Amino acid sequence: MATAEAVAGAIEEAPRRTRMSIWWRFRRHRLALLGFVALGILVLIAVFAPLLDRNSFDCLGGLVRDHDNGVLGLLFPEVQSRSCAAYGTDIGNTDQGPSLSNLLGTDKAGRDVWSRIVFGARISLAVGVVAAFISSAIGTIIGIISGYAGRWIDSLLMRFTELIMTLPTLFLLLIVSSLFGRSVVHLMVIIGLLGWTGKARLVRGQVLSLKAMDYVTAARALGASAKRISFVHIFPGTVPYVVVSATLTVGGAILAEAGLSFLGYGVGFEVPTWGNIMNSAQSLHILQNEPWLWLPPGIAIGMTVLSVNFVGDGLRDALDPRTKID
Amino acid sequence: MTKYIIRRTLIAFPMLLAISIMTFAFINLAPGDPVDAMIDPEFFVGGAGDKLRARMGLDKPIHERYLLWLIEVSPFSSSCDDRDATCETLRLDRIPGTGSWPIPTDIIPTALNLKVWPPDVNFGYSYQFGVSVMSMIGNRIVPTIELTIVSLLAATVIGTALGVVQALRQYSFFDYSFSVGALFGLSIPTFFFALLALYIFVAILGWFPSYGMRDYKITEFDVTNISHLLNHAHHLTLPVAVVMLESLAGNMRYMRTAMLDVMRSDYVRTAQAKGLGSWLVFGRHAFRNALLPLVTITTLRLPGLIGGIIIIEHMFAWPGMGQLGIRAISDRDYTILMGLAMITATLVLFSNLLADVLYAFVDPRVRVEEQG
Repeated sequence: MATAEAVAGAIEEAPRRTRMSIWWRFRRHRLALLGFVALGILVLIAVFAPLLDRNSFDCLGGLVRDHDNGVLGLLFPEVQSRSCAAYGTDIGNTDQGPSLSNLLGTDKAGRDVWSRIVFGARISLAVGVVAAFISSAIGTIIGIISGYAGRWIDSLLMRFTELIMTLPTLFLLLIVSSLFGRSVVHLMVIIGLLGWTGKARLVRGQVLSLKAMDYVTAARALGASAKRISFVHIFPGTVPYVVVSATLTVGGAILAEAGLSFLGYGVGFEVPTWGNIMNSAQSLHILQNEPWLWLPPGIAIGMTVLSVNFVGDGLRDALDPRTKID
Repeated sequence: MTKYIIRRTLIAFPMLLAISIMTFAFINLAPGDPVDAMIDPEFFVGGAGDKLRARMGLDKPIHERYLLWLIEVSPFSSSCDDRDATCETLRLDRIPGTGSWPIPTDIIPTALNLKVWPPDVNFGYSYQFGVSVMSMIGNRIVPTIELTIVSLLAATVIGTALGVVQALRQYSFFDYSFSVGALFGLSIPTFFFALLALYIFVAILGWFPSYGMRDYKITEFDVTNISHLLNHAHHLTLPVAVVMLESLAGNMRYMRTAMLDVMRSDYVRTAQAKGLGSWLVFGRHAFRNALLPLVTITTLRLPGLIGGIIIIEHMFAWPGMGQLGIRAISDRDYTILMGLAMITATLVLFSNLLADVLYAFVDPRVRVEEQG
């Protein structure tokens, strides 16, 4: 009797212990923890951007633009505020090097680079998270349908996926972003819509192996519908893989936005995004003489994506019990 | 195998057709058209813009324009004749009534003087420059392919070597630092690497030229001339080094994991138990098997690499297809964009096919499955 109770207790406790062990395993991955902390700091910077910017001069009335404030601004109206230093123009203070009043110098419109980087964190994070969410949702749905339905539906969806994979993503992004116009929301939707292919193939592969499991056969024998089997029984099994892949996609989306903005096809120029700040460094003169315009935002992009990738690596090791953690 | 190749080649045609429909729709639904990009709308009075649109065939509905484009591209249609009514809608020789026409003089001579390659493909005429798209793209294919192949080769060779050494020295300082280095390579955007390279090696050290394929003094490039080749290699180094970094990091990470996996397998342990030298075990047994999937991975990486090349060509003024593409996007030059999309898609599809065939050659298991 005692053993039966112990077994029952263990079964009850299993989900909690799995969660514990995932966190334990994740914590053991030191770089992942470091990335996690760095991302936490970045989120704080993004949320409290209005407190961190340098409003060192009086805004000229009409020059403060009322533009996108990223998703964070949409979610939390109380943090939604415009920064004079990041958006406004200060004609008397253009192209200044780093100083006490402008920590990272100013650009050709006299905007404070530090303030623009701080506000840029909002947009980069928003683009990364929303694009990763959209692409994961599409990829998971297509992957499950394709893997579970099989036959012609599978081959049709997979040919379509290969088709999208064949096209160079940046080329498509360039064309499509000129189609939908230069706003943050459009950009994250576009990046999300073009980034699901890898996830669809990943999920499909998982579904194929899960489909052959005994518990799925049992569910089918009990008369569960295809919809129920695929979303109640199979979908949870794919979640760890989607989570890891989505984490890495956050980094990819941030890079895509930065690349597009750098080329001048991303968000409108007045919006402070890291790619936009670096845009002016396309001229060799600025590259050489005003490194504060491209070095800090470049490091910001690199460090952010690096943190995301560390977290993704850590999650992969933590969620996959096969990898050994020493 | 032959059957397989034929089947794959046949699948490529409907895929290309689908790609062409998608790209055409994307490009043509974008706000603004070649006429807007050509001349400031404020100068147009009395419907001159619409007249120009009608002359270019831009007033036709989108499906009709797509069909015209398809007829033009189709290898079965006769090559475009000036008297042909179909060609007339696509061709823009001269615009009557508009005196000045913003043609950058640096593009026209190269486009007109160079031979068209390949000879029988025709993508219509550029809306902006009125010259054949193929003649504009033709001389830009080789620089892009050169950049692609050289960086792929460099990334594969260096990445493989580093990954193997990492696996053989697992948990060493070398392994650890290169693992972190690879993550840096994957996290830092290509254009930031390019900016750093330009800043350090061009602006500060002055070791490399910042733009172009060769010195401007070399007007006629001679392949047999050693100094010309060296000059070209000098210009090639920095773009290749920047483009390859991302693939290099990916290859390194892949190779490390694959080598570690293979080294744990039974046949490697058997080989070790037989008392074979470590060079034989790791070189012959482990390395060769770990190398196999690299073929597939490289092809999967190709579209992403092309993205990097577009940016790098733009930044280093490398006269390839990417540079032309970025320019064509702001010009809204539909025909050039379509031509570029089709050529890139064909190249990618072809290299996918090549990789599959290659894979079957290097991995006997694939062939056995085919027969069974």
